[in-house]
Amino acid sequence: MRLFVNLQARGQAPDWVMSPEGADVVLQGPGQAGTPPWAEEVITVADAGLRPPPGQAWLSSPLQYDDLQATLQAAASALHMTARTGARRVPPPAGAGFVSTVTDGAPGGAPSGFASTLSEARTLDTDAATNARQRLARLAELEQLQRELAARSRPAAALPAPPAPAVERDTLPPQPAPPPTAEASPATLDPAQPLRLVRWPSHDDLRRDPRHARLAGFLATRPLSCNELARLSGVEQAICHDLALALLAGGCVVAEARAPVAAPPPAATVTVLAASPAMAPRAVVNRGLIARLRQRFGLR
Amino acid sequence: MALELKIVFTGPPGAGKTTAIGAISDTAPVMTDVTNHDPALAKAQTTVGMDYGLVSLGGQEQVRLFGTPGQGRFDFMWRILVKDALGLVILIDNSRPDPVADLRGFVEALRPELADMACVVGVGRQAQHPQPSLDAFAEALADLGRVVPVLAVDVRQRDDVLMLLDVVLAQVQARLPDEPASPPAPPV
Repeated sequence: MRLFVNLQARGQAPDWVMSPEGADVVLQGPGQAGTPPWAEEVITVADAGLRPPPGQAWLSSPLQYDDLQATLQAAASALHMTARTGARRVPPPAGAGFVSTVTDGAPGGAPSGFASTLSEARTLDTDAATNARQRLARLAELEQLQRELAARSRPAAALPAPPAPAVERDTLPPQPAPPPTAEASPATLDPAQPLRLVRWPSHDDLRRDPRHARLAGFLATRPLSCNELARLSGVEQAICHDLALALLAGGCVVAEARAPVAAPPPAATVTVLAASPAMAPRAVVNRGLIARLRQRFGLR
Repeated sequence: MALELKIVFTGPPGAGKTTAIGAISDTAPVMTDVTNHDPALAKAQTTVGMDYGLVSLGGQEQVRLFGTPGQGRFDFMWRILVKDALGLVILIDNSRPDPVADLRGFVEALRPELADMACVVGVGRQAQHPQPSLDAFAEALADLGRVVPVLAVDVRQRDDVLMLLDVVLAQVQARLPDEPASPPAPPV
C-alpha cells in the first residue's frame, strides 16, 4: 500500500504521503474499529466478497493501483468541494502546492491490518515538520480564500496577493522543496498558464456565453492555457480568459506546472477501427475531419 | 479513402436516445423497438436491439449514430457498441426515481472505455424535474474521479443534440497532436 501511495505521489496533484495521524484520508482495513475522530474521508479496504454497505467508499483487496488512484482523486475532489461550502477545512487547489496526507490505519492503538506499514510510514512525520506543514497549509488556505472572495466581488480587477505573514513563516522549520507547481490567482491569470479542469463547471458559469460549454469541453480533456484554448477553439482570447477566471474563482480549474503540456501519448492520434470489412483497417481522425463535421452539423 | 466514424448514444430507457438520433440523422433512424411490457416504463415501445442513424459528410465519409438499449440486462451491448467510437453521449432522464444512480451505473459499466473517449452527459426533462441539479451530476462524476461535461438537453430540439456533439468534438480535437501555433482570433 505504501508503495502505491508513493507511486501516486509522483507527478500527481495533490501529493499524497503516508502519515499516522492528522490525515485527510484514512485507508482502513476490514472490520477495523475506531475510526479516528480527525478522519474526514474514510476508505475501507475489503475483500471483493465483503463489500461494505452502500454509500461507503471502499477498495477491493488485493489493492489495484488504478483503483487507488481514482479513489484518492475522488477523495481530493470531495474534500475540496466540501471545503468550498465551508463545511470543513479547505485543502487549497493542487496548484498552490498543498500537501495532503493519507494514513492506512487508526492511531491510538486501534487494531490495524496494516501495522507494519504504519511503522514504516512514520519516517515522514516528526512533530515539528507536521506542525509546520499544517501551519503552512492553513496560511495557504487563508490566502486562497481571500483571493477567491476578492475575485468574486471584482472579477475583472487586478488584485494584489495579500502580503505573506513573513514572520511566522520565518519561524517554521525548513521545508522540503515544493513540487514544481504554478502560482495562479483569479485576478492575475497568465494567458500561458496551463489550467486543469478538476470539476465540470456549474450551469451558472456556462450559461453566460453559449461558447463556454464547448470551451470547457476542451479543458475536460487535458490542461490548456488560455492561449491554447483560443487557438484550438477559434474563440476570442478575451472570452477564453473570462471563462478561465470564472472557473478559477469557482475552484473548477487549478493551475498546472508550467512544463510543456502535450497531448497525452495514447490519445495523441485518435484512431477509429473500420466498421465495415470493405473499408481501410484503420482511419485517422484529424482536424480537417473535425472541421467538416462541425460544418456539416452547422456548428459555429 | 472511405472513412466511417461512430458516435454512440446510451442511457436508461426513456432517456431519448432514439429521439436524439432522429434529430440529427440524415435518414430516418432504423429502430429495433418492441412493445414495452415493463410497467415501470411509461412508454409504448422500447429499444431491445439498437437504433441506427447516419450522417453523411459527402464523398465516402460518414458518421454512424448508434443508440444502445437502455436496460441494464443489455449492458454487454453497451460495451460492444462503444468500442472504437469517436464519442459517447450518455442521456439521463431526470424524471426517473434516481437519475444520479442511473448515471453512475453507466459510468461504472463503461469505465475502461471512458478512460480514453470523448464523452458528454445530457440531462433531459430538467425543466419539469429540476432536481437533481446539473451540479449534482457533476459532483457524482467527481466522486468517481471523472470530469465529464454535463449539460441540460431537450432531445427533441436539434440544437440541443448538436450542442452535445459540439462538446464531444471539442474533446476529440483536444486529443489530437498539437499543431504549430497560429494567432488566435482577434477580439471583436
